[in-house]
Amino acid sequence: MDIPLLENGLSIVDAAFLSSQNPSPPSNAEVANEDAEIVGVIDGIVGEFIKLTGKKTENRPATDAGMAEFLHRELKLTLYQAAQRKFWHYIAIVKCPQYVAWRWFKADKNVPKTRYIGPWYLNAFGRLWWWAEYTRDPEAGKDQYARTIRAGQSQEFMKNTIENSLCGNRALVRSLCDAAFPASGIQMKDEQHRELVKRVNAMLVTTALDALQPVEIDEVVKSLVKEMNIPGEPEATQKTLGRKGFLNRLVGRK
Amino acid sequence: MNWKRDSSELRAIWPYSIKENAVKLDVEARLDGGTASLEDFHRMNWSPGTDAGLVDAKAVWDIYLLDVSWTEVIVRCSFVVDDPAGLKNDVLPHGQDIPLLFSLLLRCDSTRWRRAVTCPFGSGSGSVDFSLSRADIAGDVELQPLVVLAASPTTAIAGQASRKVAKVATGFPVYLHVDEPPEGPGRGIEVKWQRFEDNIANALYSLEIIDEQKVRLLLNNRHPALQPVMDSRSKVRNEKTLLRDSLFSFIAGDVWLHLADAAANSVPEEGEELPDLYDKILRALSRRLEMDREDIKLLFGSDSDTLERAKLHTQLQNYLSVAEKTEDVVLAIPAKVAGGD
Repeated sequence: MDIPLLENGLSIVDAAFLSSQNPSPPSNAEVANEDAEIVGVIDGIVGEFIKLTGKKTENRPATDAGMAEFLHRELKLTLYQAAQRKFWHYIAIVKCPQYVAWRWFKADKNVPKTRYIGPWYLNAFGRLWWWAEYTRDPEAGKDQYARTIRAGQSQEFMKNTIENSLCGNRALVRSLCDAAFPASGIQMKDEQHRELVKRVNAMLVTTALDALQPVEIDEVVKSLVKEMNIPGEPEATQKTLGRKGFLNRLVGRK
Repeated sequence: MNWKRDSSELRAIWPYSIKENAVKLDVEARLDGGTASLEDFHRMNWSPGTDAGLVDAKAVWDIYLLDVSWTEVIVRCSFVVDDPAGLKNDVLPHGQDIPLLFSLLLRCDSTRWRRAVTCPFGSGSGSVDFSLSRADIAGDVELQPLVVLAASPTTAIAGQASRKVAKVATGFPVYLHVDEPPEGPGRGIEVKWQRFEDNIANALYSLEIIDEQKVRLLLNNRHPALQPVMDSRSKVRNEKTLLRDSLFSFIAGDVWLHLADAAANSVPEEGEELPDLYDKILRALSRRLEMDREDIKLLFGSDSDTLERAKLHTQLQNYLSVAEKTEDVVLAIPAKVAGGD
């Protein structure tokens, strides 16, 4: 299946475009595959995003999780297609710049250029689709996007996950979501899940976690959480391990 | 571990005993188009070194250059460790006979797709079979061979790997370029610093084509402040890396012109084909500029039009984003310095 690609996004997204709170789709867009079948699907999706732009701007980040699920459900892409940054540029600039401006505009700053023209993990639409892609559990039936919604309440967790190569290990992402944002129980604060992701990253340098079964990965994540000794979580049997203690544990040092 | 923003070298420091570059990998792959096999590939990740060690063969398969529509890469990877007993002695806690696994870590950063395929270590050799779907990957795929612990040690010992699937041996990675790599600083070309002769003491670079097989970019080390900038492999966006990218974009345009000239004017012996290097140069240039390779060759022929060649240079500058990268450098300069008036 062909997908539309915007070839001249860089020349469209200039200072004037970025400073506009209500940018219009450009008339000088150069689009490859502009008659692709998927364009009809995109037009339907865009309508829902544009509806958001009429809403208040106080809690825009809170819309991300739900829109991620919606976008992923509607837009059936392979990973290869979704990795084409010019595809997301097409949606963000040609089809729905109004949503990008609404979501990312700040009173004292322009819309960051990367939300229109950046790589997929920064693009306003790409980041949502990929967040849903790697947090979705296809075997969970009607609850397949449960983690997308729960863990999507944290902008920091979303960012730290999809901007990180660890997110390609779906079992690991599911375990991290369950640890940081359990279906019931205390949710981690930003500094706590930030520390957890750091510890997992450190472990990936020396450990081939991808060679483990999902249930083993889950145990590893739970053991890391135990070592962090977060209030409300089961206490560690030893004293709280700070960062240095954790690294010493990695090398077998007491 | 945090690296300094201006670090010019990235080196792994392991917290425990590990054998680096000890896993040999033999990769046999077949590109499959669904109804037919399209192309085969066979490389090893190592070459013999002069001191009986291994040397990185920089094994790469440029699938994107084949210009075919494919659905799957079917791969067999065979692992070998030359001294399995020595490896075990070096990396396992003494007195503990922990089983080992060969593991191949597959990673595609562009789609974040990743997985590991494993087989028993046995007596130091093994193989795995797997396939890569076109639908899952973009850019590059890295195949990293490893040896890992198959179980956790009963007793953790300082300075030794302490958990299941801890890496205890590594090998040089093999890369599959499924899409054209972005133009990065010095990418795909050997870069060497050298003291230029007195009569060209102020030249920045020079190009060598060695035996019609290899390209080398020589950089003049008479100006020492340049080296830390141009050698930087940092991906952090700062003044130094922006300057590096801008300098290389200027150099790259010129280099491509020289390479195109050499390729266009290469006349193979009767019955022989154009050397692989020149064939690759013309194919890459043809793809990047969306020009027929015969048209490129005509631009460098004896009857060629200088103005048309100049236009090609301008197109190359556009492809390499020379203006944008130069502007990035200007924007990084503090306003009171860059403003001028």
